[in-house]
Order: sequence, then structure tokens, then C-alpha cells
Amino acid sequence: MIRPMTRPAYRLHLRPLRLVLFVPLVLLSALLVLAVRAEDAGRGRDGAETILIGADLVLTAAGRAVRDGWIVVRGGRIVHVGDRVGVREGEPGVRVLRVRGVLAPGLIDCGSGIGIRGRAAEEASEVTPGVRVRDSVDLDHPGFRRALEAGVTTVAVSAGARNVIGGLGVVIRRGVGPARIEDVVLREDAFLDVSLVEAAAAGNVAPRGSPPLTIYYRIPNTRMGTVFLVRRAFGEALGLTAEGTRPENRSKQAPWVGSGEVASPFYNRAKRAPWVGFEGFEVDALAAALRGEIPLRLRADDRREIETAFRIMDEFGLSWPGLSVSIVGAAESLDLVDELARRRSSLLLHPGGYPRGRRPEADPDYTPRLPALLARAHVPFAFASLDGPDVPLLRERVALGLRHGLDEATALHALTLGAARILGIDRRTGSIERGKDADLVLLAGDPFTPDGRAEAVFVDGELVHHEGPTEVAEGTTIILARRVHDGKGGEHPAGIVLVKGGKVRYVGPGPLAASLGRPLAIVDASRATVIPGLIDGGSSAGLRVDMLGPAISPGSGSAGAGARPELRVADAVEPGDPDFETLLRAGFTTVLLSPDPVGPISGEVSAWKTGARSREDALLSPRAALVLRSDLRIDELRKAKDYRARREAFESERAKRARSGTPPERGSLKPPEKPPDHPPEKVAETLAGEPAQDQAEDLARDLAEDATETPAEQRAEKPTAEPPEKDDALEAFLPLLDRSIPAVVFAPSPEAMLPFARTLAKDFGIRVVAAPTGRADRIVAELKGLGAGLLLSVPLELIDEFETVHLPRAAASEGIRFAFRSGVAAGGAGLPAQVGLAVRAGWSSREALIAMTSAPAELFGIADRVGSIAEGRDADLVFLSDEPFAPTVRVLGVMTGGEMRFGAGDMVTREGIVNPAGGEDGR
Amino acid sequence: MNVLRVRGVLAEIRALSGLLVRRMGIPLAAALLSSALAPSRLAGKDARPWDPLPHPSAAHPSGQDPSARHPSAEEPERSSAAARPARSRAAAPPTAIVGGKVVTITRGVVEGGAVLLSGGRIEDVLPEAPGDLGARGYAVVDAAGLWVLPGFVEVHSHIGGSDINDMVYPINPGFRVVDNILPGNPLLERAQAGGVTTILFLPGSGTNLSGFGAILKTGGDTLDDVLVRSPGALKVSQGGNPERRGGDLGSSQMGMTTLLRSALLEGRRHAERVEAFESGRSAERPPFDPSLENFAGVFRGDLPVLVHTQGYLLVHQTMRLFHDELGLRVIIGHGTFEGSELSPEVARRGIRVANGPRQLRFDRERGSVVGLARRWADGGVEDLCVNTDAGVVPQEELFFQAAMAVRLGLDEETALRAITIHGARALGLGDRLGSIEEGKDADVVVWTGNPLDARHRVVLTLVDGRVVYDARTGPRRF
Repeated sequence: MIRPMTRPAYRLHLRPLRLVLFVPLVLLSALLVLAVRAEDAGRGRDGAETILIGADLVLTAAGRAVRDGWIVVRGGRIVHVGDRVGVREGEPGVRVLRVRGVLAPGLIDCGSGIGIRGRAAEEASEVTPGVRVRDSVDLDHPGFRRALEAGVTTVAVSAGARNVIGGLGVVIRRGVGPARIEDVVLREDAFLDVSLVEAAAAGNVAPRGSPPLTIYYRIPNTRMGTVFLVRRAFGEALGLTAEGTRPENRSKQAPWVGSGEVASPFYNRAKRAPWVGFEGFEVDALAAALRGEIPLRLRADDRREIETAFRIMDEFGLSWPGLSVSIVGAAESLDLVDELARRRSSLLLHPGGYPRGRRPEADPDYTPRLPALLARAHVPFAFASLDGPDVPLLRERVALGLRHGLDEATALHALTLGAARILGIDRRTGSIERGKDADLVLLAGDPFTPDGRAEAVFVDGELVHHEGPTEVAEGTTIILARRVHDGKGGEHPAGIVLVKGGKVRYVGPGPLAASLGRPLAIVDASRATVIPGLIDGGSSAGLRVDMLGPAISPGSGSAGAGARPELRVADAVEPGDPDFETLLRAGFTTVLLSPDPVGPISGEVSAWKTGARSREDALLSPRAALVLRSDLRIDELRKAKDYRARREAFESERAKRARSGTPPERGSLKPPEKPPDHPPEKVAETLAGEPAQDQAEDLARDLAEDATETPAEQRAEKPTAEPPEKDDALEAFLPLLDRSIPAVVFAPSPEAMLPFARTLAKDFGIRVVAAPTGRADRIVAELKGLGAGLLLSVPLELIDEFETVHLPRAAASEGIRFAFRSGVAAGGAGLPAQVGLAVRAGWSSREALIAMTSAPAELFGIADRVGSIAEGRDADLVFLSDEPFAPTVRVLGVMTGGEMRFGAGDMVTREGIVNPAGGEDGR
Repeated sequence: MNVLRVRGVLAEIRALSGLLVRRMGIPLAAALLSSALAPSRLAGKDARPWDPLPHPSAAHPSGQDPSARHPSAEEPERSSAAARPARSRAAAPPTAIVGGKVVTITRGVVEGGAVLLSGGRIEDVLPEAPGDLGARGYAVVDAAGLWVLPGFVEVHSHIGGSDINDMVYPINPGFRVVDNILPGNPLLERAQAGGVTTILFLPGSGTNLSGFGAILKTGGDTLDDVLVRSPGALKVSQGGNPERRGGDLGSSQMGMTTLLRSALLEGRRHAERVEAFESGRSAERPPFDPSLENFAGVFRGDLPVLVHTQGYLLVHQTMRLFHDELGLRVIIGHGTFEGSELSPEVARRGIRVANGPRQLRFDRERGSVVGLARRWADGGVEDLCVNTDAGVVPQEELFFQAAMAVRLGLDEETALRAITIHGARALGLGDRLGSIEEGKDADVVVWTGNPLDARHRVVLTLVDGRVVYDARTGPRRF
């Protein structure tokens, strides 16, 4: 328990774990050498290093909140808190950490089972006041680590409610790494648990027919038994019982023999004396608690249990000032708040769960209101996760109480200083005040918002947990953001993005020292929201009409007699086209250039980056999809499938023979049969016009029958020694059949789309991206069933007679993967605004962003490069003035391939060191 | 100063007489007249020492037996349950029930009378309603054409809370149900709709000595509101259900009786030590023992012993052990089968009987049905009760037990008394409950007619002067 006033000078070398966590951050700076030298050289007179920790906001939990505050830590203790400090960076022995976010005291869990190996209770007896929970606590238990990650630095470990009198609890502040016991155990014999809840009677058994052969054949099986054992133990501890019934004598007493007329029938303990094996210290521990030397905890949940606790307190005189009695659990204490205040007992609430009491119908908000009422009545309270061996979600659950009138300051107090006072450790921890241990938690946002996650945790001023990057390579660009949306639904408040070599290397919580790293480029977007570059799923930007063949000329309008699948739109692109710059400034970093559906086979789609300097950089994927129209002759596909089957058969035969070493026997192999001719005219004619629904169904049936009559595999079952003749027209279909690219499918109506898409998907296994017109919502479910994707184009909202149809919402509700296509060139810059309107009409902006980023990237097979902010992806980022799709949102800047293409206002500073808090170094 | 002195003297007199009453078991008036009157603890009904008992709240503000508490804490504040006067009683609004047929039970029937309730007590019973009730602030209930009765008293019930059978040991005198009570639970709410306003909530009967019960009102949301007395009675089961435990000592009838006898003898020794200390005969303070503490009240006669007993053998043993040997205040619970054949013997000893829920047996020799309540009454048992053993039989069907008794030969008047004043007297609360009399608790029930007629039902139930069930305005629960 005794701590040295000073610590060894600089303990990096002694503490390898800390080294791992902290030093890489320092390493990224050229200052590293200087810094270490300075520290080496500048050990203070007391030999302790001085650490300055600055944050946007410091919540002391002791009545102060300091904006842009600094905490000075020396020897693990806080020596100063304020907005100015007298120590400067660069002074010998001074280390400076300027962090972004809110610094609060480390949180305290007033009762948990963290760290206990094996059973939480010593079940040999129901009454075990002398056992020490500490002896069951494994300091290497991962639960401590998880608690730290949740911002909980101090944990009161308790024997729980299983035993009637459970044992002596211990308060542990674990930190990380090997640690000295006296640094870790804040309070030994910190409290004694007494259980009045059902759990105390659970697990014991009563005889039915014959006595069970188990130690659990014992009382209590009911509340009556629980209370009896508590009262008897209290009486014994207070020395009120007769000598003959003292526990140490009781084991010698046979219940029925030797004591005169009749023996005591009440204990019946020849077989199992509850106190056997325990010596006087058992009673002593309880006696100490009843004398007020050890805080007493009475676990009581429902009202009658709480009133029973009161009754026992009264009977044994446990209400005097100075005696520390806590009621633990106390879910039904709403009506007993005044009584609790009168008794000067504190409350340890279960932060979540909130059992609603017996009459939820009378008051649905029954217990969440409790913390606010307790605060008003000045009943001290804190939170205990109770019994669970796992991480307490204290902060998250206490937020429930805020919805019912608890103010944030009180809530934070209950999680920190209030808890420390109840545990009797407030001289050491619980608040950010001079003289206390520097146990701090860095929250990304306000404590009780979802953003208020614990990003970093300090114990004794040393970083023990940090979510940020542990390694930042030289030449990295650090992008500081107010918020990062990764394009796949994830968010990082106050997050950062690390970029190197044109690729994203990291996204997530920031590093701690923004002032480190002069060779780094820092993009300060701390007032901006960062999203992945947007993707237009169907654009004609940069397409030069004069370079297109007649079949895919937008103007030709021919019904596709001359359509050629091998025609590539990529060949018609002019990368220097000003359209790309327009799109880039609107936030589009990738466009899928797509021929219009002018023929049954309209050509190939290619993916382009808008911000690239050369054609090579710009071309992301020369062949991202094939555009088909629903009047395609299925025969063509069938031929292609057959062609593919023959080729595969040939390849596999050749491979087999190569393995076995036998040359192919010419005579044994027949040349491939010619596939039977199917009359495709009917199909094409039917589809050319607007087919009625029934016609479409007939067609679908015909197609399905055709496909099942003679599967290609059967027809090609005889392997051939001859390679099939290369057919360029059929080759173009192969990526479709391989599923390496999708088919973008157009149809004159949703009714025509469905049978065609079904044939493609089911009979040919082709990945379909449907680009429907009109009431797409009617076929979304079926398309989803086919595994198809969806490309929506404006208008996103249709008015169909009396019904307003919101296409994105319909698509989202079916869970289909979908994206948007503008279908035009530079005009695609208006697409975000259109989607924004859809968001305002009641669609989720998170889903909208996915539909404009990762969804098209996945549909077109380019997700390994673009569409999300993730490690290894291209650093194509858009900086927004506000959240995506907010009414007034502007694009402040765009980065592609790790380079800023443009930046507006003062958002971006390149090649400089920027302190997000402003000022030279934050002081 | 004078006032203080007078108050002090009065308090001393009251304490002395209370002590005499509790210590020696003689009526309050007799105690004041003569302290030399020697009580006979073991003999017959002439010397029955407990009737009427002082109002428990007069004896001790908590209604609890003070000596039952261990002597450690110097008068700590009483429990929340008992320290403060019931909130509902103090706040109960004045109510007048006028125009009904008032069946007072103890003072005859008042046709068209008025029952005035205030402060949670019955203020007055008048032959006719005064005209100025409204002006005097009474809420007037028009009971014209209806019957007005006292709330029923159930002496054997298990619906006051949960977990009442801890069956590890056969003898559990340290257990008490007061910690298990769930006030206002749905079963109690239904009991109100059957006109039941007071129950003796008992533990057991899975073990021979299953603990101490508590007396509760059925109306009220908190323990403060509902608790009348804890401990209310000792619960003993002589045979039957405890035999299911088996395997341990006490698997035979003689074993069980030995267990009970030795427990009670040890309890008596403790009670004697308490009495010796309190009367100053001994300077030795008895040690705290939660297993024994409540026996002081039992042997002092403050607490009845409700013995779950049935059949000739067990009734006989109950008489012998609990009454003849130990001189306890016994209520025979159930009292079914041939046990009723012992009714003259039982009656001679002043033992009470609470019969039910089985109201009849078939006599094979005679080939005819025997009404058990009638049999007990014919034997001369005074203050005969009937009981439901709720939730064996729903608590709201207590009236039906009485109706069955009538069908099987009991007279109507005794049947009504069996679920009102007799129960109250058996519990030692005859001066507080069980009839419509000035000064008693305002537990009053308005019926559409005679409760013994199954066609009639409860219209309105008041507990401690507060309406807890009103079928005129709310849903009908029974």
C-alpha cells in the first residue's frame, strides 16, 4: 500500500510493454533522438520525468472543466491542472502529449467479478466473511485489459451475491505489465459482501426422499434462511450469542446427543458445520465490518429485500454516521430514496439491466429515473457492474440515466470521484486534482455520447491503452478529421487517416502527439468530415463520340443488328476532358464509363479515376462490366457457353494427359458436335417491343426449358483433343460466364427486366447489375433473390398515380446492393444533391454514402482499389464541410492517390506542423 | 411540569399493566384490579389467559414483541415496517356507509344503519344516518339494499409472499416470513374481492417447524401499510407434508414429535431465561439467538401456535404436547378427518380450531357424510374458524368454506363468526378486528347480500378506512 513518492528516473528500459505502446509514436519524429537525449540529460532533481498532457477539454470531476487544459504529471502524480503550465516542451526531462478529445478521470467499477479465477464464492459454506477475494484474483486476467479499454481504470472485485456472507472485497487498479502489488491493490479488505437476494439461496438443495450427498444440502433455500443466517452471523460477530453456540464450538456439538435432556435441534450440523475449518478470523472480519472498520455491503434488489436490509440495519444498529453501509443493486429503491438518505447509506447501482420492479405497467420508467432522484436527495451513489466477469459497459449504460433527468456532471461524478469516495480511495484516484494518481481516460467526444469512446487510458500518467496507430512510417501524411466515414458504414469520430505512397495505411483514432513528426505532412481537416471519393456507376464523361463505332454511338439508335461485344468504350475516352475536373470538384474520384444501351450488346464498361494525371493512372479497370439489353439473342449466350465448355474440356484433358504423360489418342476423341440451332427470332421479336406481363412470363418459361433440355455440360461431355476455334465475338462473353465481370442490364420496363435477369443469373450464372427504369421497386425483391445488384438513376422518387415511390428506400429495405448512375457526363456532379434530397425524404445518410462509394466499387469489382477508406485502398478522399448529404454541405477538398487535388479555405495546410488546438504549441 | 409528571405516571402504569398482561397473561382490567391473581397456564377455558389480549400496538408501538429482540442495540429505531404509523391509516378519508343492513357480528344486526369510519378506525355505528354527514366531510356510500360486514379474517394462508418452504432442516425456528412479504400482490388483490381483509401469512408446511408467520392486511402497497403483527404465529406441522422430506431424523411420526418436543423444550428454557431476566429474578441477560428469540412470545402466550394437524392420532398428540405439556396457545389448523371426533376433548382444553379447506368426511360405518365444522362446534369448541389454506384454495373463496360448513350443518351465525371475530380472537386481535364495533380497524366490506349465499358478491372493500376494491367503478375481480 505504500507508494514511493518518487519513481526511477525514466523507466522506458524497465518497462518493455510501455516501450511498445509509446515509443513508436515518438519514433516517427525526428525529434526522437533529441527528446530521448533531453530526457536522459534532464532528469529532474527528484529523478522523475515530467509529462505534460494537454487536451481539448479536461473534466476534473471535482467541479472544474478546463478547455484546452493541461495536466502536469510527475512521478505518476498530478502536480498541476490548468490552462497554462510553467513547463515548456523541450525542457530537459519534459515529455509533451497533446491529445484531441476529452480527458476525464479513469472510471471506477464499484463491484465486479473481473479477474476472479474459478468460483467467485467459497461455496464450502454460506457464511465466509473471512475469505479474501484478492486470493482468487488473477492479475493477468484479460478482463482487466478489457476494462482498461473501456476506460475503467479501477475495479472493486467482489465475491458477489452467491454466498450469504461472501468475503472481503479488494480494490484493484491494474494498469498493464508486471506491476508491484502495492501499486495495484488500492485497498485491501475493502468491503464485506452480504447477500439478501435470491442468488444466495440458489444452488442449495433440500431433500426429497433422502438427504442429498452434496455440500449444497444446506440452508438457505429461501429468503427466510438467508436472513436467518445473516442475523445469526451478525449476532455471533457482535458477541451476543451464548458461548456454547460460538462457531468454533459448534462443530463439536452433535445435534442430538450429550447435552442433557435434548440437544439443540437447530443447527443439525454433525455432518456439515457452516463454520468448520474457519477460525476466529471469520468472526473477526464480520465484527470489524459491524464496528465500521470495513465497509459493509448489503446486496438487495427488490423492495422487500431493501426493506429487509433496513430491518437488519436497525436491529444491529447499523445506521450511525461514520459507518459505511452500501445497498448494492437496489433496483426497486425508487420509493425508498428518502429513507436511504435518512440512513446515510450509499447505493451501488447496477448501471444497466434496470429491472423494472414489480409493476412496470404502472411506471414504465421505473428505475432509470433512480439516479436522478438519488442525486436530488443527496444520496451518494455509484455504479457496479455486479458479478459479471467481463467488461463493464459503465459509461454506455449510465447514459440511460441521462435520458431520465440525471445531469452529466453528476453521472461522471458517480463514475469517478463519487465511486472513489464510497470505496475509500479518493485520496488516490477518482478525480483530476493535484496530488492524485494520474489515472486518466481520453474520450473521443463528450463522456456520454456514443463518440465518447475511450481512445486512450493513462495509469500513473503512463499510456496503458491506446486505440491509435502504433507505428507511423516516415513520409506518411496524417489527415486529422472531425469525423471519418469509411464508406462501408463505419465512423471514426475525431479520427485520422494515414496515407503513404498513394495508399491508405490506417484509419481510426488518432495518435496522441500531434506535434510530433516534422517530416510528416499533416492535413488538418479537424473541422471537416472525410469520406471516400464518390463513384458514379454510369457516366459518359470524357467519351468522344467521334471515336465510337456506329453500333454504340449514342445517336445511332439502331436495334443492335451490328452490336459487337468486343467494342470497348475505353478506347473512346479522353482522360484530359474537363468533365473529369468538374466531377472531381463535386467529390467524384471514380466514374464507370458506360455506353448507352443502344443495342442488345452495347459494349464494355470501364472504370476511370477523375483525378489522374495520365491515361495509365486514370484507367482503373478497362473492363468492369458488359452492357446488355433485354432483347439480346439468348442464342449468342448459349453459343458462348458451349464455346467455353468445349474450351474447358480441352484444357482439362490436356492437363490430365500432361500429368499422366500419355499423348492424346486421336481416334478415341470425337470432334465437338455442333450445338443444335435454336430459333432465336421469336425471342428477339418479342423483346423488341414492350412485352406484356404474360408474354414475358411465357418467354421466361421458354428460355428456362431451352436451357434445361440439353445442358452444355452434357453436350460437351466428350473431351476433344482439338482446341475450339477462337471466336472473338464469343470471347467477349467469357468474363460474364466466369463471373469475373457483371452484366449491366437494361430493359424497357421492370416487367421485361425480370425474366431476362433471371435467365442470365439462373441459366448462365451471370452476375447481373440491373439498371431498370420506372417502378424498379416492384422487382427489387426478385432481383435480390437472383443475387443481382441495382443501378438506380434519377428520378429517385417516382409519382405513380396515387403512390409516391422512393426507390432508394425500397431498395435499401430489401437489402439489395445498389448504386447510382447519372447516365450523363459532367452533369453527374449533381448526383449527390439528388441523393441528398432522397436522404431528406427519409432515407439514411449512412446507407446513401454506401450506395455512392463501396456499393458501386463492389458491384464493378474495383473495391480493392476504391470505394472505402481502409488499409491498402487508394487514398481517394473527399473533405466535406459538414456531414454527408447535409443541406449546406460543401466539398472543401479532394485527395486522389494521396495527393491533394484541390483544397478550399484554411482547411488544409501542407507540409507543415499544425496544432489542432491552434497556437504555436498549444500553450 | 405537572403535565409531564402525569404523563410519566400514566406511562408507568401502562407499562406495568402491559408487562403484567404480557408476563402473566391476565386481562388488562384484572391486572389493574389485582396483581395477586395467579394465572393458571395449563388448565381449561376458565383460565384461558389470552382473551382479550391488549391491542398489540398498545403493548408496543411496533406490534412486535420487544423481548423477542436481542438486547444488543440500545433501542435502535424500529424497522421501516413498524416504526411509523401506517401512512394509509392516518390519511384515510372519513367515510360513512349508510342505509345498509349492518351485520356487526358481535352486536347484532342494524337494519338501515350507518357505519362511520375515520382515521382508519370505525368511529361509530348508528341506527340511522345523520343528515349532516356530507357537511362534516364524510364521503357517503349509499348501501341501501346491501349488506355491510366486517372484513374477513383468514387464519391460514400462504399468499402473502414467496419462498416459504426451506426444507433442509426439519426444525427452523429462526425463520420468519416478514422478509418474504410482497404487499399488494395479485393474489392479495383478489382476496379483497372476496371480502378478506386480514390474513395470517404462514410458512410451511414442508417441515415440522417451518418458522414464524406474519399477520397482514390484504390492502396496501408497502409493508408499512399491510403489516399488522410479526411474528404473528408459530407454524408447526405435526405430520403429513413433512413426511415427504424423508430420510433424515424425523422420518417417523415419533421421530418428528421428538424433534418438535425437544425444540420446544429448548425454546421454553430460553423463554424462562428471558422472563427471569426481564422480571429481575436473574441478572444474566439471555444470549442472542435468532433460533430461540421468538419462543419468548410463544411461551408468554402472546403468540398462538398454529399446528397443521389432522386425523385422530395427530389431534391427540397436539393436545398432549402443545397444550397439556407445554401450555401453549394452540390453534388446530385443518383439523380434518377423524380429528373432529376429539372435539369435546379439544373444547375442554380451550384449544382453537381452524377447520378446512376440507369441510367434510365420509363416515363409512354410518355410511353418511359428516360436516366437520358442525362436529367441532357440537363438541363445544369456542371461536371455531374455517380456513382456506390459500393458495390451496383461492383466498377469495373463504366465504365458500363458511357456506359449505352451513350446508353441512353449521348454523349461519357461527359460520359468519368463523370467518370474522373468531379468527380475530384466535390470533389475539379480537379487540381490533373481526366485527363492526367502535374503535376497531375500519376493515369493512359491502356485499350485495348474504355472503353465505354464493350468488352474492362484494361491491366495496375498505381496509383501514381506504377503498381497496370497488366493483361499482372498477373491474370486478371475483
